[in-house]
Amino acid sequence: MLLPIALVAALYDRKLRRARESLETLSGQLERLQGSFHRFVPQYVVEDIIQRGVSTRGEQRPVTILFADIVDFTAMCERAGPELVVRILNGYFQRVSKIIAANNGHISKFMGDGLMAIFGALEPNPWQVLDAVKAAYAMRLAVMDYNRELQAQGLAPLGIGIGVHCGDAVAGVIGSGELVEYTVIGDAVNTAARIEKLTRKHQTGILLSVNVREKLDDRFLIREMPPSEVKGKPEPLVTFALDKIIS
Amino acid sequence: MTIPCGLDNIEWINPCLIPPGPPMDPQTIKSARKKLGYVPEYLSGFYMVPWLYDALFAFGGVTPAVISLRLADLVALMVSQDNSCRYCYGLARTMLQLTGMSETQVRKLEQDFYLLDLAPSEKAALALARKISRANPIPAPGDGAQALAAGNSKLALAEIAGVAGVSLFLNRMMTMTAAQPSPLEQAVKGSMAFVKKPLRRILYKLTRKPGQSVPLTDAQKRLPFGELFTALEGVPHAVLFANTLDGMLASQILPRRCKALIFAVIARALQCGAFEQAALNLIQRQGLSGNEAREILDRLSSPLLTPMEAILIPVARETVRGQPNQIQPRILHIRDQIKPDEFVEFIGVASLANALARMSCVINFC
Repeated sequence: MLLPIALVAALYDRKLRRARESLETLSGQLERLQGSFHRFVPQYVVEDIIQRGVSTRGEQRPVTILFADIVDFTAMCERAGPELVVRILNGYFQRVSKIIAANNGHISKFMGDGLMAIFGALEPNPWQVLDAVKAAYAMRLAVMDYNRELQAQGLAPLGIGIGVHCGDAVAGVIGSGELVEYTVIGDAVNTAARIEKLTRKHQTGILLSVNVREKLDDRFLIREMPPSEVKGKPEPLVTFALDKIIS
Repeated sequence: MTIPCGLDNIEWINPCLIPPGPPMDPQTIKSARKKLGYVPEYLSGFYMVPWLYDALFAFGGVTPAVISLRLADLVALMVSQDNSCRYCYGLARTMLQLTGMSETQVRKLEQDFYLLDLAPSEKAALALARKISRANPIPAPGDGAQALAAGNSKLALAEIAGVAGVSLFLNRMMTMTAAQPSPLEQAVKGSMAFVKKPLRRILYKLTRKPGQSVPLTDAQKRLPFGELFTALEGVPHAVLFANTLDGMLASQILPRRCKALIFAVIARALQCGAFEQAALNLIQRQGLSGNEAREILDRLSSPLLTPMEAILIPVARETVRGQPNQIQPRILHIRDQIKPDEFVEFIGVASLANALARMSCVINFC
């Protein structure tokens, strides 16, 4: 009589132990995912989502936004095969991502050959403008370096345009259902995007807004560009080209 | 089955970044071994900076006078986990196991502190400790009011800030040191853990007593940042931090102006206005005008900076928010640019500034 009971108890105990082990493995995986997610999102947002399934917090914060994309990327895609395009693009993104992170920024999104990086969104950063401009300059130097590698392989060099602007924006988790992202929205974001587009018109690699210019000192060698009409802005935009940073 | 935990995910440089100092006398080594259980590789390096060497033991041995030892241990775990300090986090986990928790319970705690059966006042205290540690932003008076309303006394809040501050100081110090995991972690692992763990548990129960508070002297209250120490008066951490700051300011290794600038940069990074102003007052006593000092803080650069300040000021800023895999390479980069004792003292000054600036919120609610 006792033997069957003992057998059942042993079987049950084994099942329970296996269930516990699976739970522990899943917990560990969730924790690693949390850790990775946390790098791109403030910790309190991650905790909100875990506890409530959603984060509805939105905050107005002063941020600096950097937009960058590759010049004539469409033409490059038409010339090169898809595998080569992906390889070149990933090589570029790898380099510029490191630079942005090293300068206390984070990439909010990749948009084809372009990216949007934010400085000062996850945590207060009194030097966010300096960080963003230094990142832009370092990105330009990194691309020049990358181009030497590409040209050594018989490939065409890349050109990039970068626009930097600072202002107040709303930061929060935006989206619905399964597609959400932590990002910033507002006029400052649109302005940064417009400034990046102006790099083509002004034939220069890095353009900065008036707001950014006001926060820079004489280590940053810049030239004022002629005001340009842009979509969505009542007044022409004044921008400044960054030529060099003196160490 | 090995249960993976947060410790496994921390990227940490090996070996330790502290250069070895001159040989220590046998008596000092014996005393260190008695207190720590072993002689860490960084100890002779810290010995080059007396105030920091003393602080290491004083901070490591302080126990709370008002809040429970358990709550203090939980704060230490939470803050160390948040800061991803491999050394302190490992030690905090070990302490909780040596004082009664199982590995499974500690793992659950790491995932969500609020799974533990805590009183509302303790939960509020932990929440406040987390806000102090993260400083995103620095806690406002309302945060202190919430913790008081949950049943904590002002003295308890002062002690929570003190305990969080101790963890913050040690976390930063050990991160910049890249201190390797303490051998004490083995007391709860391996085949002999079933013997070692209960023995250690008894030892800690016998030796860990509640702390005693000592009143501040008038001289300590008049120190720079004295308002903070006054707000902490009544808990052991007031005198602990006051003595450490006094020792730091009196040390002749790094110039006082350099130390004050490091404090000011860290205060600016944490957006702690009152703390920044106190640091600026100190800077002005060293010969720079207010405008000159503010310009340095705005740019993190200036022709007025000495070569050493030009190296250390930008790195001080990097010690505020980064994870170990960001901070440690930056610290390694400057190690060979300055003298060993200057390097070690910089680590101490930056760690102290990070702790004090975050704790300064307590002035508004104690």
